[in-house]
Amino acid sequence: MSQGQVACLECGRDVPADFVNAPEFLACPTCNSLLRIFAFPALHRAENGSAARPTIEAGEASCFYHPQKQAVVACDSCGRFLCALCDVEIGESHRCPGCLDSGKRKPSANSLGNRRVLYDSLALTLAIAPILIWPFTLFTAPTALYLVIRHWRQPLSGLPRTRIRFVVAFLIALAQVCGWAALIYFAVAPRHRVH
Amino acid sequence: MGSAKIYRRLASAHRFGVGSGGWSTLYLGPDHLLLRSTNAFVETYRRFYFRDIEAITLCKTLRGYLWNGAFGFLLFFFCVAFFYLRGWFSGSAAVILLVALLINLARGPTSRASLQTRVQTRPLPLVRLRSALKLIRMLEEKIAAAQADLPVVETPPLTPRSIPPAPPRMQAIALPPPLSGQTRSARWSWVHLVTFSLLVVGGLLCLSEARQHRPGLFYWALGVVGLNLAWGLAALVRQRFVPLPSPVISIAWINLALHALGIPAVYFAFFIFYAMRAVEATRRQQVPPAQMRLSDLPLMPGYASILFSYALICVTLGAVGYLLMMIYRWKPSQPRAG
Repeated sequence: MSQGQVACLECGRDVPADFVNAPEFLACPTCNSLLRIFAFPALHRAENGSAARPTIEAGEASCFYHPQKQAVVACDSCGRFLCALCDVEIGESHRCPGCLDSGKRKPSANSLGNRRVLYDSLALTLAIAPILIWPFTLFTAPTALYLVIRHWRQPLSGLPRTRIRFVVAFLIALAQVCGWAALIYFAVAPRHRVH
Repeated sequence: MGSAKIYRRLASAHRFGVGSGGWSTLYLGPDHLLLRSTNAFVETYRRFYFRDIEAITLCKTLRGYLWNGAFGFLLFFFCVAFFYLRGWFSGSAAVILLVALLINLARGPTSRASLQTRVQTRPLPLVRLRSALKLIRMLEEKIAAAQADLPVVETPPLTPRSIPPAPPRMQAIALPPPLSGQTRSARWSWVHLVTFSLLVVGGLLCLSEARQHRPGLFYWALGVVGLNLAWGLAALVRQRFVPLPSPVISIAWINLALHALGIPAVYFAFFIFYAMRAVEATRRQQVPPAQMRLSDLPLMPGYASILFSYALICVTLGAVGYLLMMIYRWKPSQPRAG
């Protein structure tokens, strides 16, 4: 797909310009799929020339990463001056590459993180699924308990999510562990009494 | 986590696939769209800022009509079966299919959508046309407002003369291959055609077997079922290397799941039942046979109903698959409509 063009979803080829913002569905010339394209001004946006400008005068602020380049903005996270090349715009905010990288790895940064492991669902599955083959609960119940305790304070998802799965998983896994303890106690205790 | 409450859920859809399957949900944020993909226990987020969105493409699909056809076909057969046999199984299956058909009709035609930015094009979970159009109309205002101050390249205005004429058949064939590496035919596979033919033949054989219970027919049906499984695997290998329309791929997967999982599960259930009968025979001090033979299958309770259902599913799948292959085979060569 070339720049300023929109491709057909079925065949992947660029569609003619008259398809853009057409009031009805039109058939793709190549594969006949019925398409409707809603295009926005960004499709024909001019390149804003992100090449950084060199410093002109000695008193001018320069980029933290490129001292020879003129600073145009400060990082909203660390405050370093950045040139047009180093400025990463995320919505309304400006970040430097370093803050962007560390923010992606930090689980609490909601606006930058792009991946989360759902430990609460994992713990709940470990607590419930092996009930059908109950001997497995000897291993899965402690694992579920560990996951609940280890990740209780960690943010779960980038979207609103309660900790009810953690609570349910904890209760079920605790019941399983208690069941195993009782089983071992009643299986072993009579022998001790005999001896 | 307080900032997470700013999101409003817009749409959601499930996609099938090994590794790439799972739920995909679209959320509306203050200045961006958030696409959440859930795969097992991992969530992946993609943010599309209104300022960066270049286009949203909507494509009508046949999926809704296919589901209507499949539901209607099965409903008809189960209704006929209910009126002749008066069994609870066919009656309840007919009711469930009727409800499914009505729900599918109420939700309307289906679509696919994708969102394009300068650096990526991502599918959106908008699977129903009506709701997709409604959603895009709502988003249009927000995106237009966010892009109001963008510097735009001057493009020559489109006049009727500047619009290229509809390409005739030969021009469409002479187009260069697509950039995505699809060098072979993207809509045709004889392996799949044989798979769907086998499904229809196997289904018809099983229908006859369900009605007549002849030993010869039983072994023929069994042979075709085995052949279907082997050929279904070949179809999967084929579609791994040749891009095919998604409904055809779905039918190939359903076929394999039916033969690789469904039939062994039914056989296992019969095996358990047989073992229980053997225990019962031992308790009554009768001599049970050592193991279940294939020829004992027709004697099991519910065998005819299960075989009948299996045959119907096979014939439906095969017919729909065959029809799709025919539609997609001739679709590219048609001149552009309108």
